[in-house]
Amino acid sequence: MSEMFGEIVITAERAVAGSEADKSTLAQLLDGIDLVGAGEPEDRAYLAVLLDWLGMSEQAMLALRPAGGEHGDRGAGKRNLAGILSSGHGDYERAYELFGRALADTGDGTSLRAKILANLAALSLLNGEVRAASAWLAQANDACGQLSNVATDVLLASTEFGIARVRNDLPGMREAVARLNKATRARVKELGSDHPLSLTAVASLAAADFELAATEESVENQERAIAVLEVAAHRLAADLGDDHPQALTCMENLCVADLRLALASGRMDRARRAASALESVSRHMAAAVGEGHPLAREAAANAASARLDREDGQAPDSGVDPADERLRQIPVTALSRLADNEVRNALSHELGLLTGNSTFTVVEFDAGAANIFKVSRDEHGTPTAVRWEYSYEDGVLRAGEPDQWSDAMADPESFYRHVAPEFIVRTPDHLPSGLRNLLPGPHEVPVHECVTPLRELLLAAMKEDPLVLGYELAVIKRVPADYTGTEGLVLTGQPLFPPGAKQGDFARIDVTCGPTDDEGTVFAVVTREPRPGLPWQARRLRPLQVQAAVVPPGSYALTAVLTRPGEVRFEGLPVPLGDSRRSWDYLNRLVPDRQTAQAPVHLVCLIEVCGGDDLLQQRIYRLEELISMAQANGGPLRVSVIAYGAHGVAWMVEDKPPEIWAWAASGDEAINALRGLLYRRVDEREYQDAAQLECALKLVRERLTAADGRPVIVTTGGRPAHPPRLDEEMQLIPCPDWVDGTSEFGRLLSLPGIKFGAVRDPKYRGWIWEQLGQHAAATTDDAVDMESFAEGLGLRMATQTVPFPVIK
Amino acid sequence: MAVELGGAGYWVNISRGGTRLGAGFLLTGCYVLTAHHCLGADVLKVEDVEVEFETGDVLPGRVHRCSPAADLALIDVPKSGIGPIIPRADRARVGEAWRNPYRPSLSHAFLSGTVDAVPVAYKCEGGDSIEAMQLGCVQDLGDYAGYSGSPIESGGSDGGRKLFGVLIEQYPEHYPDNGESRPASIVLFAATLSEVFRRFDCFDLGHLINLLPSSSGGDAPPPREGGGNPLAGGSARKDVQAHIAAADAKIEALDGWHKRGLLDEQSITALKLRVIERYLLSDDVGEKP
Repeated sequence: MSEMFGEIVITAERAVAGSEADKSTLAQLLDGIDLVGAGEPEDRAYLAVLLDWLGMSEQAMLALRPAGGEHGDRGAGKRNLAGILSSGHGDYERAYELFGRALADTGDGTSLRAKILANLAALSLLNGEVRAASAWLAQANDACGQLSNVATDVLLASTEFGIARVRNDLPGMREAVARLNKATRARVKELGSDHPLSLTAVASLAAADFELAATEESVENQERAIAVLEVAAHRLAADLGDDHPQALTCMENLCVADLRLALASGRMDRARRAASALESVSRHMAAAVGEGHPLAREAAANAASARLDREDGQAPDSGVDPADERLRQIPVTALSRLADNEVRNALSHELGLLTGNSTFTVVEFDAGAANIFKVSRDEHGTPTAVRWEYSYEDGVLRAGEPDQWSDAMADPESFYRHVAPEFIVRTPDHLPSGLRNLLPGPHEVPVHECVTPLRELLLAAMKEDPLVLGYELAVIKRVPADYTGTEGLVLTGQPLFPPGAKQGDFARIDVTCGPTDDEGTVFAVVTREPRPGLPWQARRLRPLQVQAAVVPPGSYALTAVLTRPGEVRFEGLPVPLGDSRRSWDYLNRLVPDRQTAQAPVHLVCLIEVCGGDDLLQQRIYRLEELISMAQANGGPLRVSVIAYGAHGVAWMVEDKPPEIWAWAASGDEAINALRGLLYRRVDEREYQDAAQLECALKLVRERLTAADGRPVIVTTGGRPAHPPRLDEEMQLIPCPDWVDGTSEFGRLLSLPGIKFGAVRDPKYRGWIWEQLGQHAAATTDDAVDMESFAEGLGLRMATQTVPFPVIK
Repeated sequence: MAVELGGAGYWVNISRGGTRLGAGFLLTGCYVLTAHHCLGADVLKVEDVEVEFETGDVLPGRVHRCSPAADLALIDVPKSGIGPIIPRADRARVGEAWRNPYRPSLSHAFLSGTVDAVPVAYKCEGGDSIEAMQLGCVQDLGDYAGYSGSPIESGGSDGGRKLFGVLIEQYPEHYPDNGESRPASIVLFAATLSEVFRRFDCFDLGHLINLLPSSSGGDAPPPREGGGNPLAGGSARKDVQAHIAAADAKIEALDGWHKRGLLDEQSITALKLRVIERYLLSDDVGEKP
């Protein structure tokens, strides 16, 4: 742990203990520091919890951002924790996403996986998705198996109880409470009696006990549960502070329990106190976590319900409609939420009925205008809406440009015949007379009174709309080799999300990115043309979202997150994606028919070591250049180095044959071998007019195998080969072994695909050098265009670009 | 009777046989918390007291738990018939204003001030170190006798009163010249609620779980509170009788040591209290040596 990071942790600990000064200092210490790179992962997780506790949730999330190299369970653990914190802040959408990614990153059979599944089950239940909660719960129970984790057991038992309660499953509730009791005991034993999490666990158990007792109508058991809830609420508030969400939640549970029991037993004074306390808890909860937080909304709803319940216990005084009276007493936030939910549910229902080219309209009336929303689906099934606004002045429709609805806005009959809204949303404001005239009569089109703008509710409903067409990722797939032996390539779709998938769902997919042009690899989400008569694979792909980035070639584990219908976020790439500038047709044309696989190459370097160190160094340098260039091409390459000199023909001079310094080695090994040739000891009696070129060629021919790759023979030197017999014309002594260089060259030349290159001394001699340089030739002391030289030998190929991710 | 924080007073006067002992307050629906020294050092066994509320109602109470070392005691008010009081406990913060809603009589002043330090370890006269709040008091009364056992609340005007702890001791003013000290300082000490909840085993989570209906079946031990008389069962009766016998033996031994001059009166009293606390007042009688 760095000194700075250590100071941050200690300051955060002091701030959590209640030091306001340290909280200020902490903010200064955190300013500008990159928490991702600081501290060990476990220390950062600890710091994140402290920061979250202090309300510094953004910094907490930054501390939990996985650093480079943190993959697998370690990264998953961070995301799981981040999900827990997000859930605590009421950001269920983000929590789902984080848990989903954590789940994708963690392996089977680990306790972490069981924890994540348990968290997903609990989160689903919190979000009111009982069926999903039940499914996650089953998976979590399976994953737990023999893995014993007390915290997970508590969470699973709580979730099990919640599901049973929602389903009015009394035996299930009993079973779950028994399991929760056992798990809570273990939890308290594990953490000790003074740990806040122990307190929270006991409070949850007491709340579950109360629910069960209330369902069983056992007053005595309800009293016992309330007594425990009371102490737990006090202890949590004393330890964590009275505005801590856990303390407030426990207090809320206590108040609700007390209210219910008081109402059931007709103790109205006690009910009034409990209702009043619930109002107080609701206010504090809203102040502590924000009004939009699910906990605050629930507390407001409970407080509102408490007022209603209390009223139920009293006879109405006079001619006041009790229902109306109740509504007036419900806090505005709760009323607004109830109306919002009603409208959102109605919108979701209409969206569910929306298929093909059909449309529906909904209308909003407020104090100064009417808004007509026409909702339809695009070709991908994504809901879209168009809005028309009509302003009213002095109660009368203001004249504007005529459009398809303007006439209908002035005539109620025409309005309901042409606009034909499924329902109308009106604000509580006083409506202009022109709009009041448009309001329907009883039992006609439903009218909802709502404070939240219809546009916001519609956007929210569209965001939560399940997919009607499956989403796929456009990928290149290899198809089996044809008669030429090369694999074909096709652009197709890899399924990501099936129809019915919802916001927050995720999918994992492994892809490989190849070399690309400057525009990068395209990550396109596509749907298939809905033509039931055609086989699925034959249906045309239609781009929904096309993004691109220059991604380094390699394999990537992608996570696709459905952020809303029509939008998918990809994670797992080292660079961010941006919108692609190229058309879909153009991108289709970029897909190669087949992949040009580079055949392996065996570059054999024959180097003459005669002529002194300067000359030898020049030869070595040229060969190094060539090997480096061949390596950079990226194809499979093997390199051999054979050094040869002159035959030892003088008295007592040893005749050393050509020597293999490297064979079928890597480029780097070959370069090292070449450098080892320098500073060789030269025998002054060495023959000066020829070199063992013919023997070197013979050695190559004998050693070459097809398995090492297509041969490329590059020779550097200048002396002629020893002839197989005395060459009187050039006055050259023959090879002691009578090897015929011409014959050896001819036999090599017959090998399929072989190429010859030569880097010749300025004063080279012998016809064979022309032959050895027949595909590429250069001179050691001249500037060599090594790219052209390599291209001549087939050592440099134009790189094939792959515009889409490739999938096996 | 309706008692709630922020409404009528939840603080009480405790008396025995018509003699006022000190202050206290309802911590839960059935427990009054007070400073142990209010009850007198001679509280060696379960005793009956009277609990008088601000409304003038008097209810019978019984000393339920004592912690003389931490100067804390709990009084059970089983017939209160009061549901959860729902006071909002809280943690005090340094610099926060505090007030005491209780005063011993109409001729006494209300106390208020600022929290000077929290949490602080404070060694009580009874010998134990507890988690406490150090309170600076604005009202310089010289002697704060009569206030012990009363509640300490938040004194801010930000809506809603919060309960911080229980006033236990006044820090004495020391005179280095003659080594004497007397209660003239304006520094008071209050035990935090966290300390109170940790101190008494009836608030222990294991005990609370046992109280729950879900613990009634299976292997869980039967509830001991609100669920019937623990002495009613045969085996429980035997356990308790055995512990009474053990306690008697210990007390007898202590008396013997006192007679032989091995221990002074004060030490003997403290040790007897320990024996009572351990053998007779603990819930876990079956597990103690």
